[in-house]
Amino acid sequence: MRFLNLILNNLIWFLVISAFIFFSVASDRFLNPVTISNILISISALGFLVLSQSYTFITGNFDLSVESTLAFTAMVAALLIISSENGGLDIGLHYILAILIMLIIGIKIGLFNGYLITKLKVNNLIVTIAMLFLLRGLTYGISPGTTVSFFPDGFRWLGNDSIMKFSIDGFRGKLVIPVSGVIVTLAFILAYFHTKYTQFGRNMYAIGADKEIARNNGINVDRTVIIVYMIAGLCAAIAGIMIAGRLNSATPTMGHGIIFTVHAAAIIGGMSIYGGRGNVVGAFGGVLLWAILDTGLNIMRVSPFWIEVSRGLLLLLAVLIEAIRNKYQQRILTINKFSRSKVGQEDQFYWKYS
Amino acid sequence: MKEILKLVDISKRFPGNQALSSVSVTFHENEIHGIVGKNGAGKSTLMNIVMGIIGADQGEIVFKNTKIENAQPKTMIELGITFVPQKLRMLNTLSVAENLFCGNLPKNQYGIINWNQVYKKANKALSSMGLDIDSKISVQELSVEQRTMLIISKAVLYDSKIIILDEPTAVLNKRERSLIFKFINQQKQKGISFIFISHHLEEIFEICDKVTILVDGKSKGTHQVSELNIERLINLMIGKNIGSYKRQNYINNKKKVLEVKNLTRRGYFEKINFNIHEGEILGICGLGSSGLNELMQSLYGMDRRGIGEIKLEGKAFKSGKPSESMKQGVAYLTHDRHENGLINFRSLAENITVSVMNKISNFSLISNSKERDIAIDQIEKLKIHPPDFEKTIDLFSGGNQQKIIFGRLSVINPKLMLLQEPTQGVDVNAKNDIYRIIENLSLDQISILIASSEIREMINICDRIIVMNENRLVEEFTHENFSFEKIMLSMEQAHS
Amino acid sequence: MQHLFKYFIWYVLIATFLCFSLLIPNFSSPTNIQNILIGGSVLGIMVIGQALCLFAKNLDLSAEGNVSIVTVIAAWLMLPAAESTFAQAGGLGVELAPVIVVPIMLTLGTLFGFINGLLIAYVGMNFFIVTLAMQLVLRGFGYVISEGAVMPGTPNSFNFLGGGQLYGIPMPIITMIIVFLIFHFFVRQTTIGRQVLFVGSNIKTAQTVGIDQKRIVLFVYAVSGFLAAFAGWILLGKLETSVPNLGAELTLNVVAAAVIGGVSLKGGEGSLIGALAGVLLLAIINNALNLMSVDPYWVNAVRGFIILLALIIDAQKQRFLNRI
Repeated sequence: MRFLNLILNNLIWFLVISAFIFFSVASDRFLNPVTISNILISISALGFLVLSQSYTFITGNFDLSVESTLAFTAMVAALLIISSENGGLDIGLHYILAILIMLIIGIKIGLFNGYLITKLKVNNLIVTIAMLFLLRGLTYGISPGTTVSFFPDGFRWLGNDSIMKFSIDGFRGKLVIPVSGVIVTLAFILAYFHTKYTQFGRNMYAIGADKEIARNNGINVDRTVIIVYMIAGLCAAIAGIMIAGRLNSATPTMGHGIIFTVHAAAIIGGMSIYGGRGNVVGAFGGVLLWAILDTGLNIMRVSPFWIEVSRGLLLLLAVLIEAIRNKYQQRILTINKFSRSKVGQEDQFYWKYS
Repeated sequence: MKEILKLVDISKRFPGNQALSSVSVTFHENEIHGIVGKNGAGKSTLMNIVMGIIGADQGEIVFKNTKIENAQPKTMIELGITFVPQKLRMLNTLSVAENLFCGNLPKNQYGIINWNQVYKKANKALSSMGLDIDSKISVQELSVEQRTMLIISKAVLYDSKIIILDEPTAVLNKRERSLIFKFINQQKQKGISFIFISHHLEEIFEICDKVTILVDGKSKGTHQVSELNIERLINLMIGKNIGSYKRQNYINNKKKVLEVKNLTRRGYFEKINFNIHEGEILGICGLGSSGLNELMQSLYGMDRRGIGEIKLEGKAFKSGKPSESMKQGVAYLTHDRHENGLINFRSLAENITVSVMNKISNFSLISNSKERDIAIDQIEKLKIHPPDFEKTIDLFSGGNQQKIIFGRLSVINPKLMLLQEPTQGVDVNAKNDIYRIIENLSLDQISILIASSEIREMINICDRIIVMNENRLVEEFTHENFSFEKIMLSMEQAHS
Repeated sequence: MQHLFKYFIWYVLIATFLCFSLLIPNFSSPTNIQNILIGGSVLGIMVIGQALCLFAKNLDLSAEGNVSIVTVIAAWLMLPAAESTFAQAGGLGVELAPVIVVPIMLTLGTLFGFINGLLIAYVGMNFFIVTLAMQLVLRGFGYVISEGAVMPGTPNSFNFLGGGQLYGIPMPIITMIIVFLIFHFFVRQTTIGRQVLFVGSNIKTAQTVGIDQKRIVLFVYAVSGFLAAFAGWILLGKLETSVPNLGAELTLNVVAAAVIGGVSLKGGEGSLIGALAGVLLLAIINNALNLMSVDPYWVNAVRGFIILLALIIDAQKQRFLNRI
């Protein structure tokens, strides 16, 4: 019973470990430095998007617009930095300023979303769907219709550079520690600290659990939710920098459709769309699982299309397990509630039904 | 003892209903002040005014000798008045400690939450309140009485002066109740005053120092509990605002329609035995904690049955779901019209015909004319006003909504009707109408089981009344020897 | 005032139409109105399924995945085998006749919806996540079967519904109108149609009065799946080519159209005709932006903006109504 509980409560890490072991056994090309490096790279942008989603999930909200925020901010930066023969506007802005602008735009978009949702009381799901269209359209609109390519090296540092490379005896290829992988890990650690050890983070959980009670306890609900959306926008912009840096280009279709993957990774990591539950560490597990599956299945020459299918099935499995867990916990609660009751003790199988 | 909160000549009128007329109550420090009164006597209106949720038409609220102008919920909470509702709301996904310190968790000098400190402080605070709860566990693992005590503790820790408890014991058994009472008494010693709302008169004698009786929106004065006894209190509570409808003919039919034998369900009721005869109106009186609600829902098949035997017209009645029960001729009227009685935003006609869709349709195509005929028939029979079958149900008055639901029940041609609080939230005239409807139904040979706490009205309408107390049926009265006082005593007092 | 709010979407629709008629020559010509309607036909059929789900306080995010997979399967079964190239692939080689393929399509679509409903109603899984996962799975399978390539050249008899004409009226319009009328009648005039609304309006009452709410939820998802497959048939017929990412963003458009048209996310409220009006609004905007030769890339932006505007107004309307 306790073992079962242990597994159910840390499901994501069991999945991560078993996926890792599975691929190590199933393919002799999995457990080597190159693969590990690839996993570290592929957790980066996805990780930031999952982080943005985790924040909104904790407060019981959605932000579907992040994938468009990512594309929009990246496109703006590309246009500002890159020369006209490569598709830019020939402004030649310094890349640090461009990155700053990206981050500010991301935050502003979040502010706008948050304002509409809290102050104007528009449904968060639909608002962010509308923003998803709006920003994607804007991205297409401002783009020259082609790919804007060739960023300066400084801009690409975050997405493409590595902190260190070293070879390990007995393996071919070098273990590359990418900047992006390190940054995303740091971001998750920071986010864990923020959500667990600061008043603001705990306010987020309280709002997700029950908005009214949070308000009655003096928490400024609207302000908190707006800030959460701003953080989500910021994370999306950082993901934009990473993807643009890695591809060395910005396209209007960047990140298109990734939001479904992001939701799936967050949910399988234990985040709940009902708010007040889950933690960002679990979400990080979700990201890792995604990256491991992606890389592992790739190495095993599974068609990328099957990878897509397997992700959906995995998500279904995760919800199924959650549904079973809820039923199981419900039963425990029923037993606890009635086992001590002196009324109607002849009725012995009371927990079998309800 | 010092005065802390004074209500002077409070009046409040709602459309069509004088909810409170110049009620004056004074609450003192260090006391537990009971407020009793039947449903609709004005208790919740009074408390809403105290909490600043609604404004009074007249009168003033004086807190510690200062008059409160234009009271808002926020100001009242800041003054230190806490309301503990019957349905407790907490941050269910979070721990006890976090519920306790929500919005203001203990931090170190850098503003960072120190969870060891949090749990330590929470445990210390809880044990200083005399509670033995591990603050690390989730509040979902707490029992109802622990949750209640946790909320009270929180109020005390945050310097509440007055704590209003709205029927805190409604779903608790005796042992849990005594735990809460012990706890409240401890807190009283700290100079906190409690306002205690209850239907359970015995509890007033167990715990309160004073009691104010509300009848039909008027105060019948504040009394020292030591100077009262339960019979006297019951006498004070009798009001006029009941349906004056009096049953015309009693039934003398010995054909059994429903037989219940040894029905037992863990935690709710045990060894329930009774019969209903054809065309009989049988009342069951009981408090919220008696298990009556669960009994009615189990009979209807909305909830688990437990063990025991139920026979409908001599045949075993084993329905596990409402549609099955209705097919066999059992209809049910819920006590919470707004939660599970109305189909919101839909028309009168749709609300009446919802359970008999097969009657208004051919091959599942709805015939508007058939639907209209059924609706108009019921509108005429039940005198529903306005007689507009296309009007949305939310726009009808409470009494007419209730009549519409009666229409829904009668169109299925039941043999047995289970009614819970049939006149709740309904004005006096509509009450009389509803009792007339019930008697007419019984004349059509429909057996009727009414569960209600309105003893007066039950006396006027029922053939027999049985009393449920502490999860068992304890006493039976026939219409020749109905007595308000005896029934109420039987409902309230402990039976060993 | 209340009247204004109740038919708000229609006023907006008419105002937009008049506005564009004045601005753009030929906007109100019969040919262009035909174009508008054709543009809205696929969305118009899918919005019915989505509205039914919303009526029952559910949501079907898997609709576009459903469109994708049934079109791919249909093309795969109908087309002759051919050497796969980088961008283009052949079918399975069985070359089934459309008469057989269409029922297969519709059955599969319904089946996928049915699975959604089963998992949500009977297993007790969350509808949002189930349909989200289903969307990933179905689209993934679409890619697996087509290997990510397009399959051009569906037979003419199959394309009739999407590209053909009857008495000079394009088939998609006729189909949309017929499907709409059927379901309009269905919601208003059949017992199940009503029960769908009852379940969304107050699920506890629905249970108390003996409505089997699980069956209703199962039913709405099955219908949503069926209609998605049906829309897939039209879409494939129109394009004559199966594209695995066919129908991308359809779901979000459909949800937006339904909500703009007054179908509440809280269940039990709204009407199919309102949802259709939402679709028409989106179709008019698309068409007008086209005619004004706005860069097609901007169309999405403007559409997003208009949805946003409609939502803000809708939210303010609720607050206003609450106050009076």
